[in-house]
Amino acid sequence: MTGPLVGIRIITFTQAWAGTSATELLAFLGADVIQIESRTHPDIWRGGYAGEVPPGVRDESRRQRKWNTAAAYNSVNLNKRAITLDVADERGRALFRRLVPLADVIADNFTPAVMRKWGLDYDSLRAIRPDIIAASLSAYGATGPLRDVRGIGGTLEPMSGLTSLLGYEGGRPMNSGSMIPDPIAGAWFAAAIVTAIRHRSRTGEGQYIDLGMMEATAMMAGDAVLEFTANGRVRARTGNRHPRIAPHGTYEARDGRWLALCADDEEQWRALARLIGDPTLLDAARFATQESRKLHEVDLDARIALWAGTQDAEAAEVLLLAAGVPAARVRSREELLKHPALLARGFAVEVDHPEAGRRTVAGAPWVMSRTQPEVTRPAPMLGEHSLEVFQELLDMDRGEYEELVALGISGDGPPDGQD
Amino acid sequence: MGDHGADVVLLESCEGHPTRSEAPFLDDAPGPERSLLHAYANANKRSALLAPADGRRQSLLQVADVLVVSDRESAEAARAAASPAALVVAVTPYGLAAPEDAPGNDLTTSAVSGWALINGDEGGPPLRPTLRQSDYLAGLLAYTGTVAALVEREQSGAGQVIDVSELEPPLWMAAPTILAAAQGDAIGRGRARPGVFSGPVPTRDGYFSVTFSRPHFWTEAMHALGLEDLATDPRYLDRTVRQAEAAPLQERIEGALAQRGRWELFDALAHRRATVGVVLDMKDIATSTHLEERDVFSETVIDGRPVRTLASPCVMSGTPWRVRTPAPRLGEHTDEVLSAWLGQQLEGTR
Repeated sequence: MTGPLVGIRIITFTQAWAGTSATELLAFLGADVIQIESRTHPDIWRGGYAGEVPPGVRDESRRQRKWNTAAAYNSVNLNKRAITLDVADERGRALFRRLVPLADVIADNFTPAVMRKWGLDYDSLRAIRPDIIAASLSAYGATGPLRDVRGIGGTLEPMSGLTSLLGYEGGRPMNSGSMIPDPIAGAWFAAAIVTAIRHRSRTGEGQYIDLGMMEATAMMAGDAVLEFTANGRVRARTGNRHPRIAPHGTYEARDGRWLALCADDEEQWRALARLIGDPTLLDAARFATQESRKLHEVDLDARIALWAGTQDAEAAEVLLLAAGVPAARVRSREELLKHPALLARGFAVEVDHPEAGRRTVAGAPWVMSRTQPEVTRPAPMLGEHSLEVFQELLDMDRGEYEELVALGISGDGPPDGQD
Repeated sequence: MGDHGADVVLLESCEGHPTRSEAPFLDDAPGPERSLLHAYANANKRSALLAPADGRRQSLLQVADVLVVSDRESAEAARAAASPAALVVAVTPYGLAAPEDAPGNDLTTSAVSGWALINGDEGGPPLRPTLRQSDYLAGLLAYTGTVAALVEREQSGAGQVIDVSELEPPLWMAAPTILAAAQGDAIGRGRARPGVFSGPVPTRDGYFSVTFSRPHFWTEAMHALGLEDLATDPRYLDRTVRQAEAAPLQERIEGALAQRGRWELFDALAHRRATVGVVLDMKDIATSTHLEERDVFSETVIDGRPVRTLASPCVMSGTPWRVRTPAPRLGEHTDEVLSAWLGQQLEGTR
């Protein structure tokens, strides 16, 4: 592994996306992240045992099992190792307790009662390792009136306030196109964990992190909350509009594609107006200042939309950027990792998954000059590293491992052994 | 960093930090101390006001552990001035390591990262995420990378450059969409027609969201809404069947939801362990008893007025997030910072 957290070990029960995205960030930074699943409850983002390998990844030259080929799981678990260990079974829990002294961080995204039920809550963990960092992510956190309510991204987006702000001007509230509270909460979770690691390295003290996705996601609306507490005003949905900048929107081009553009200062505005070639834009008093443009943005938007309708999006993007105007055509899904900046920075990386094949994926969102985070391995297959981890950390021999497999406490594939 | 006790100094010149001129303002009256974004984003910092040509700027850069910049020119200046043990953190639209610089902001980032593509109504204009999510996420990931580098520095004693592109955090957030597109998997909602299967719908007193991502969520929700025939018909456990019959199903479900209050629905459905959400607006968030009990809020001061603000994204038993000091007035701490950071040098020049 590479990255600044080399030497840190994180054992995690995180599944699906929110907590998983956090532990992936820490794995990018070099931590040894070991995900625990069980054969009866593999990560839900593996998509279950039933069904077929997705058509887009079928490859007769490879052994392929459906649960190892899901895009959802394989996109957010890079750089991790995965073991199966059934901690619902006391024998599995006993084994887990042997791993705790070897971990810096134990992370989970269960509802708050689960770790307590298993006797693996913070107090129990720190009795084994006093400086452990126990990090727990749940929908609403471990305290408060909503602590026992379940939630997922699609329900936490409305409960965090973001849905009330997303939507066309005057229109209904909307959820985002992909459950955005998951990676938002995950990013906060990673930030909290790394903060705790730093605190421990300075003081020797561990701690307990209890993150509710509702509050972590709401942090993205901090200035809008202040607008209510300071000014008594509830912010409305404004589409693509900006509180200060006009123009600021998406406009349909001649080829049916969309162009996002704005003019953040006078220089950008003059460049945009010159490019559009409408002399009334530069001469008209109502477009002379940022304030007046904001006041007349409906008129301004209509004029820009007219111009955009005469342009091809890709060519217009080139012209606008060359003129110094912030602009981008709205990318299709297939184009998302093809921006030259991403390729140059190594963010778009190719991984070769043993069962899903070779794909370009989103990698580590940092470039560091001395401890560069890198994608060093694809998402793990179910139970791929069980034997390796048990041998490496617990000095377990193969016979003991085979016994665990026979008991269903470890191994891979469905509990009945049918794959 | 300020939240966790670092001594963070906002090095400003006369025009002030750009957030100071961002609307909305306290009582809608513009002024450098009245921007609500500045109040939120710059709490727990001190402000030093020094002209760009003032040599003491350079001296401050030389003694900092971490220098945070947001454009290429400043990054070069910071790298030239920083001590070998310092971390230079650059958060720029396309990253220092990109072949070319280009102007960009949250709007253009949403276009390039795919979020504008998947937000909004089918057939409607692409819609950027709300507020400044790319900015906040880039800042948050810059924080995480920086603290990780501080941990590593304790061993190595060496500094480095941490280069964050505002484009990459939203793309990292779109990772499932990207791989699903490459593999031909169906994932996420994407752009959709309005309705209960894609987002919130009206109730008697506001909007409400129900998810049916697992079969038992569907069953429980239909029971709670009194739609027993839908709850007990096994065909509807299959999402593709529901999609095929979306229009009549939507009409019935939305009709049932419209007759009840949003919190009444929440209590009834959450009790049945369905996954549901009330669309909370900013007043609801600011007055949430749940968030209050989670100790999420702190008090800050904006231009002399005490105001409640969001302060804590999670509970940390050893190092809680706190707003300790409000966002600084322009140049409020110049002398204090110069004395504390450069005391020896100042005395030497007197």
